[in-house]
Amino acid sequence: MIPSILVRFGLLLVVVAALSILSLKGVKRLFDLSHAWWTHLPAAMTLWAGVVVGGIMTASGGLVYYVNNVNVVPGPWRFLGNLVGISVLLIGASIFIDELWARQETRKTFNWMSLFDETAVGIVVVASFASLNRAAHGSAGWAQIAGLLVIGCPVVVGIILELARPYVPREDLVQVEDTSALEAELTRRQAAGERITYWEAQNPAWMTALIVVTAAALAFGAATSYRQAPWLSFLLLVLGAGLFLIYGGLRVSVTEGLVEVRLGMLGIRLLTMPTNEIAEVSVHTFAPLKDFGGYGIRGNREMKAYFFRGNRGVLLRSTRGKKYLVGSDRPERLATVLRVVGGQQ
Amino acid sequence: MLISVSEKDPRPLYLQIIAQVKAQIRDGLLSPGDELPSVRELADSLGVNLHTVHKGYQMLRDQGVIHLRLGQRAKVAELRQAPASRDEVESAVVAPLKELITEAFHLGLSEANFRRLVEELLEAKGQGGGKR
Repeated sequence: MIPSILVRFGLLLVVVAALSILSLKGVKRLFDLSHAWWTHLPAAMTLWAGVVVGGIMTASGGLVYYVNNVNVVPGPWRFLGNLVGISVLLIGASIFIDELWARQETRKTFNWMSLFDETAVGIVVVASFASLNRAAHGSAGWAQIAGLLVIGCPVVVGIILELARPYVPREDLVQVEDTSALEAELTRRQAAGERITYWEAQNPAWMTALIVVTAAALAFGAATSYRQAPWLSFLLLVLGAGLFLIYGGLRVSVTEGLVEVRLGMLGIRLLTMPTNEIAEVSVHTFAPLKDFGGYGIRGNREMKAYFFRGNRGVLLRSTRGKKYLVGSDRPERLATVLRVVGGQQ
Repeated sequence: MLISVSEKDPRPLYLQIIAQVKAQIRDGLLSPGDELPSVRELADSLGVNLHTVHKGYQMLRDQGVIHLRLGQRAKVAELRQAPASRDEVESAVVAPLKELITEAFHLGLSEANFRRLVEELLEAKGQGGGKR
């Protein structure tokens, strides 16, 4: 006869599988995601299996051990709460990273970062149950093998799913602007002797929030460590204050004589190029993660890049052969202005 | 944001700035929440006096077109949802329109041609993306 606990376990697995599929599908529809929702199923299933096993263990007497080891293992609800909370956060971060990757793809490429949620959630589940198991039985050899399986199996499935993930072109995300009227208007204004200036900012809200939260955390650290380690406290304060150098984002300004890229409220100059030194201007689409490893002030072997959001910008080649990529929300307009003021139209 | 000023334009420089900011909002090139350059940045770029840009920004703020807050960059305000009061429309739209009709009359433009011109301009504005 099949033990009733196994029947309950099986039924719970079916229910949680259905819930995982429904929630991941819902997220995909809600945010119009470009990548396949089912690439997160292994991580979701690892989490749900962890919740089910944790639920059964706590319901079938595992809780006894909490009472005796109150300082080692938290209560059942905190145990499950920590497990679910941390894992959902990690899966959410993974959805964000995978979506960024998918939206920047110009052809199908293997995204190694797609294995982040499988690995991280597997580690969280294993770590949670290791503490439970240690409290209940002391360390056991089989637990380490089981742990490796809990992390390894979802990662293998994750690799297979990532290979199977289709490439979804997202032309709808790129709106190419027709700037012929602007070019004619600028040429007219220039011929009339008008002083022209173009200005654009990239100051995403997430960056402002990140700066404020990190600076607040550093200030808190400085305040609490002041008595024990005054030098560390001072260092944290300096780091926190230094963060405000980039507060205010990135600004691009073009006048008839100069192109400038400045950073932060203080306006630190990142790029200054006289317009007569511009040899070539072109609109450029790039993949921030793949080409530059992220956002900000970046560079690779080919060029220096300045962008805080998006995946489009203007590529400038100087008369000395150096290349600079300037991120822009309206790259066609910026390129047109640069061509007109640089006398390249 | 694209701004150009001309010494040949009979309008004062700050009015030129105001007109161009408003036109870019109307055409959808500037959206609510978009940042504008600081007074100093714009003045330096255009080679005009700080007070000129400041006056332009203050008037835009008074008209509810932009937000100006101390220590923050100027930002484009939300578009007005309810139509302006009759008095505001009278002074800002009807009076200049009457002057334009008079100018058109003295330039020998017929009523039909004037009407067609207005319709063409409204049509072009609609294509620019700023249609309400």
